Amino acid sequence: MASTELAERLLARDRAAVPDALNLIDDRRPARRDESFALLDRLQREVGDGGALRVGVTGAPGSGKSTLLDALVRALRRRERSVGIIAVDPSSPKSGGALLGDRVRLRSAAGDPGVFVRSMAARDRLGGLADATFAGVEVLCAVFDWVFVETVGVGQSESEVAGLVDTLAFVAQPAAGDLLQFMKAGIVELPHLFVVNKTDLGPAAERTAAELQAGLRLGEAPEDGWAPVVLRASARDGGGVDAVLEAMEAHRRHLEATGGLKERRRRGRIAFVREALVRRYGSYGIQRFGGREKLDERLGAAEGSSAFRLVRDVAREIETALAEACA
Amino acid sequence: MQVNSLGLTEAQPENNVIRIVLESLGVTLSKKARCRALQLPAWNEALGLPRPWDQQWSLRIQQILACETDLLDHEDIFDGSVVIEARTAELVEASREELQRVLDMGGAVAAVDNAYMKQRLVESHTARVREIESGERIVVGLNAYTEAEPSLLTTGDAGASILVVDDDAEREQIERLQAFRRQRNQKEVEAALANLGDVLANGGNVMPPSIRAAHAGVTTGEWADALRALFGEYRAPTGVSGGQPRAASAETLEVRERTRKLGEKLGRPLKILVGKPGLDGHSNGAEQIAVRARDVGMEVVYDGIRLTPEEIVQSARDEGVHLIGLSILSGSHGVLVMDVLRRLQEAGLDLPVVVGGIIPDADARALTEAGVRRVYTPKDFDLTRIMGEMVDVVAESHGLH
Repeated sequence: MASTELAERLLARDRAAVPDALNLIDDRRPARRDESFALLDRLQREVGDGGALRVGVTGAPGSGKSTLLDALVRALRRRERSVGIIAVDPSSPKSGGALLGDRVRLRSAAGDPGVFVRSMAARDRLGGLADATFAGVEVLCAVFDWVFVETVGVGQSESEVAGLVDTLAFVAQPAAGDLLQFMKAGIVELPHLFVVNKTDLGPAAERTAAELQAGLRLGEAPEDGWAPVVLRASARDGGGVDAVLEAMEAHRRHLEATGGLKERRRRGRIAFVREALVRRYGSYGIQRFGGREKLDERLGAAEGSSAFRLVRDVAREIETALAEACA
Repeated sequence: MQVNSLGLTEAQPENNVIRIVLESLGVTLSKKARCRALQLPAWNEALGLPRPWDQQWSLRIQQILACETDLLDHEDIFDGSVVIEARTAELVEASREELQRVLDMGGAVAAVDNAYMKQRLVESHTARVREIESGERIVVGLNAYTEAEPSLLTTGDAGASILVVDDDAEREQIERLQAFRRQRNQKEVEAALANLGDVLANGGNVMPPSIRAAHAGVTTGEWADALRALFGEYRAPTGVSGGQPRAASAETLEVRERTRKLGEKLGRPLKILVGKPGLDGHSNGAEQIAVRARDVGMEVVYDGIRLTPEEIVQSARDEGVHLIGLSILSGSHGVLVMDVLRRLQEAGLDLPVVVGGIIPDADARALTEAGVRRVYTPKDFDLTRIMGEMVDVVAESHGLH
């Protein structure tokens, strides 16, 4: 299917076009790369900086992220909002294979055309996001009202996922010993909301929420003027789930009111482009181009260009610089 | 005590009788440790569903043991045995350690929630499968002493050595259910269900409204639906993502390389869906396939047990997989596989399907004729070979062979 037709169908919010589009953006063959580029460039320009709420959900294994996400999806479906989800799981560094099992707990996805789930393996990005995740979010945002990116919180992925969503939610389970580790690593400085899950477990949840509140007071003040909130929820009995959705919507309104949304998306795009270029050309390539500062300047000046076009354009410039270095 | 049928083989199935006898001795010889009730598997459980005659044979094993030996006349015949005492002490110590580990996690419910229990099950079965593949663990007739005279228990008419379920059984059961529903007092049923719903919503004791529902003739399905409407449906962790792959064998490395190369030709890594449709919870096979597929470098979507064909097809389409592997041990492979194939066709998805499970030869031929690319049964114990064939199947379906 030609990418123009795919783009038309996605922009008309045709769910049936989503799997094909996601297969296309994941395809490394040169001819397909060109089609994929055309599709993504157009989507990013036409969808613009409004549209779907983009929410990252992260947390340690066992914190109940998927179960909470399932409860959120059910609540959104009751409000007749459609939902697209990308669930990222780590790849085995040895075999390159991956076990993607997140659908198991996303029961609400079954048989409902208003819910879409795609699992992605992180591939060679240890603890990070799949290459296709950034592009996948663009595809889902064209079609669905809410888009979630779910990752296992193991360090690197928090800051990466923070770059491609508007709102980052961190899910903690009561009495989790890893909270302190997260605080030390500064990861608590990224999320906009913290959800202490499994409040049906009783007092441990209250203690964890109090610890988080205390930890937040010690952390760095958020730069977008939003004070992170700590919420309690129980995916099991549905308690607190609506409040979580409301907090996500409140953060989005805050971003829109302060102009932070546009800025956040712009920074997310630049981070994606920088990351893609550094990975492709290494520090040597960037040095030949004129160094980090020159690159950041170049990226910062590229207003109005899609991230995908920017990768392509600046890649050509770096290749020219490299060719000159070899000559 | 229900004795496990895990060790039963499809190859040389007559050997299973000896295995069942040994298992029954294991749980009866010691008086102090004797089980209070015993259920033995049938010799042909790796071939299909047992017939009444097969079940009778297993029952006779117990009766011969009880009536034709003097086992029941004695105190514990292991009293004073140093070897048994030492083995028992080892088991007790290991059990205590394990219990402590679970307690440290917050108890059994926490250990189910965090997937610890399921992961340990999958890991230990993975180790067992590897030992059988490498020959380190001998299973007579399967990976050793495989030369065999034709089994006289399975020759003769196709399907004669297993129970063949009448195609009408399902229809008849549905008719009986509908007839039952017609003769109920519908007003009472509705009132009972409404009462159950109210009590559930208010967090009250569910027993009184459940008893009232039973008296009114509310079916198990209707009762459970009322609970599902409020609580949703529990999906257990699959446990497959726990274990770390061990040192890969030469065969594994070879398939891994072929997987990688095919992924390059396809433009993206090989992605497969392992699906378990239907009601049986025997997930060992599906889990081992999922884990091994990961080990040869595939990206594996595994959604756990009890999926509907509709869910499987939706998942295959949304996830963009290259192949679907179905695992069915309930005997319902005919209906379920055909349903998946039909839905794939309706969705316009040209995806290759392979099937594994306890599938009699005649059924396997029928599935292959219907378009299933490969059928695997318990005699196919070499998982790496299965992986290699799955790579071939995907390559063939893309015209790359």
